[in-house]
Amino acid sequence: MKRNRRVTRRMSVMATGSMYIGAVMLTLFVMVIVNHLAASSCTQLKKTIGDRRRELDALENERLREQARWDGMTTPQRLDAALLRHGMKMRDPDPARQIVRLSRATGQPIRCQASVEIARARAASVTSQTARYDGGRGAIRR
Amino acid sequence: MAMRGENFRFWLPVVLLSAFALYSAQKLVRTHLSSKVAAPNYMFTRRLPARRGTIYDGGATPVPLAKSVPFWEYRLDPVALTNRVVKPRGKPRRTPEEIQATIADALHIDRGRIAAMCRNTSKRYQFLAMSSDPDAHAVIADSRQVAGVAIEDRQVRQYLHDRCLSHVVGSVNAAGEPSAGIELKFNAELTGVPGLVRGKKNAIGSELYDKRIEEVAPIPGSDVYLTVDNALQYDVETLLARGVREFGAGSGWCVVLDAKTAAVLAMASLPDFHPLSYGRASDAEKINRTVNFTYEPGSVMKVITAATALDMGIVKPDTLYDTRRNDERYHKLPGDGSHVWEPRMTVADAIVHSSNIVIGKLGCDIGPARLWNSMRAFGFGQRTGVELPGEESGILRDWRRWDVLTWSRAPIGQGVSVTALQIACAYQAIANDGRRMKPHIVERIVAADGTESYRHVPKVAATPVSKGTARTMREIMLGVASPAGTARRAAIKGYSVSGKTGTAQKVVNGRYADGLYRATFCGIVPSGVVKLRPEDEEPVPPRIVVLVTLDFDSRAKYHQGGNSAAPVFRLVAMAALRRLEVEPDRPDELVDDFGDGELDAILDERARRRPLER
Repeated sequence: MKRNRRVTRRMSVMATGSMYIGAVMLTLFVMVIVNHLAASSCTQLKKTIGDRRRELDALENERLREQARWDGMTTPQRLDAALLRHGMKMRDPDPARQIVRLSRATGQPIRCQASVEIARARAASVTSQTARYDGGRGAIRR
Repeated sequence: MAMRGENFRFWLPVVLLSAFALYSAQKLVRTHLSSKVAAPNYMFTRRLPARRGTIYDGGATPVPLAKSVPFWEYRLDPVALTNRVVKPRGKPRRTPEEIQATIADALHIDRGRIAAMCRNTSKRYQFLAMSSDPDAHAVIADSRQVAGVAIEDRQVRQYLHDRCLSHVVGSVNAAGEPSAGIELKFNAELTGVPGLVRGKKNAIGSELYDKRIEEVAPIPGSDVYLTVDNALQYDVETLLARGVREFGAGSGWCVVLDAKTAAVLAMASLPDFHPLSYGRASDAEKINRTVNFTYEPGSVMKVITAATALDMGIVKPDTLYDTRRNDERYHKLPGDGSHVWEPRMTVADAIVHSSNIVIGKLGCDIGPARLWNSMRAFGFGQRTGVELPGEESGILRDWRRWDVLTWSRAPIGQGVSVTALQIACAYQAIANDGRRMKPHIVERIVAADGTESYRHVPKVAATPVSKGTARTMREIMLGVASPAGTARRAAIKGYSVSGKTGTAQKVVNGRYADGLYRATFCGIVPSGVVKLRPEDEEPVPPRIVVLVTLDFDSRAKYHQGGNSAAPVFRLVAMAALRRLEVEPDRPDELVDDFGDGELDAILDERARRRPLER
């Protein structure tokens, strides 16, 4: 019994040591595998992000180039030149016919507003009279 | 044996762990501390240039004036073009001549030029072209079509409006060095912070994009927004060029200021330069004559003298002065010419008719110390502080160093030198009820992330005269652009104009040159003294201050401010009023244009209808 007990005790020490080593080795192995998997995943993500970023940069550059081209085409000089090329010449309205905002409008008419009324009257002289013509009697209702 | 087995079981994990720790440590050192170790040949570090900020105008919808655009730079390597195998799928190998033809067609270059470059094999990477055409780039970058062309990404500064506003915007050369204008003044803000890339490359030196170790993105430069309206600037430059040409002037300049805030709405100086060829421009073209050039202002200074005298209570507008040179102080004072014939003249008339003698006497009555102080308060003899490089301060000598002649000369604009912007700012003070604002041309600066790093806050620089004096001066100056004044050609239909002419003799070799003049007109529109309706409490406020100067290098028929600068002023002011949608303060003058009784009929109709509408 004594011998058996001793053997049992020695076996127990060996089993504990092996389990300890095995656990450490397994942990290390798992850590290495996880590390590699994570690194691989990170590398893939990094590559994807890099590709997308380069794509974004290329598109942004393309946008900047197109924007600059458009800005260059729509400068006053280029527009004037383009109009002249097509035999057109634009001019600003006479001061009398330009409509401007009144900073302190009171609702009361002032003399300069007469120019606006002239324009309105001219525009209305055809359409309104046609619309209100009441046939036969030859009268225009006001 | 038992002892040996136990030792083995103890040391095995220790050895394994140590090996793993060493391996990890080595990895750590390589990865994170490699900057302290010499970089191997397959590593590279590259700076990423930051995009330079854009300069915008101050219109309702900001328009870019200077902008950095990504371009591709192509360089030809004749050796690689000849030796490298280029074979499209399913087709025979391309000959060097075919490749040259493809390059020439894509980049619109003469084939002969490329052939000549290819013959010069001793010179590799010869400059071929710069292009922003994506179609051309697709052809050149296709390795199955083309070989021997190195491609580099570049940022090219584009000046979309060519010569327009060139003095204000300035220039940047191919190396990114600024030369003038806003480009120079705000270079630090526009430049941005460059980025960095560190990574690995393959055997032939190409970057391995998935092996980048470190990547720091560049921070683009800030955008600068000006106060200048691009459309108005174009009008002003066109009209000024026309004026310079028609009146035979050698050069001319013009400033349009906001009467309330002193914001620069337009600034033109002729001759000018193209920003892309700044290096080849002459000195005469490079100089911005509105801020970098000083000259004797002539009679436009009389307004300052009269305002000072009125503000100090020395005279009233109707105070009479003798128009004779009856004192030694007025000896050799320039005469008044044929336009002044009265033996006695009021101060107001002296401004309207531009009398040298009366204003000279007025200056003597003020006294040099008080006049000098007032001129300083109006901003002469010091920089205005506008955000442009190389601004001149002008010359206004201390009054203690004035001789007796200067007492009567400085009041009429002789013996002092000023910049055009200083004159415009002095008139802005009169337009703004006596408050001289600090002029500005930069409204705000916006960083790449959208945050505003600077925004202009209006600032009163000085108050040289009271509100009442400023209004009185504007009333007096109304007469200048009237049929009786020296600048009836400055009158604008529908708007009242307060202004003053100036015809200054040019100084050549220390003496006044005979027949060479600088003609100036500076005006305020609307004048700020005319009410729109009789029942209004306040008149229509002034909106703009315009200064126009024509510089005659040779004798010209129309060299006076009233008959050369004034008509140009009128056109420029009309363009500005139209662009800024300024309401007319004399609408009756516009309404009269309709004539033929139509207006009366409309007004009668309106009068008849009004009671019913109520």
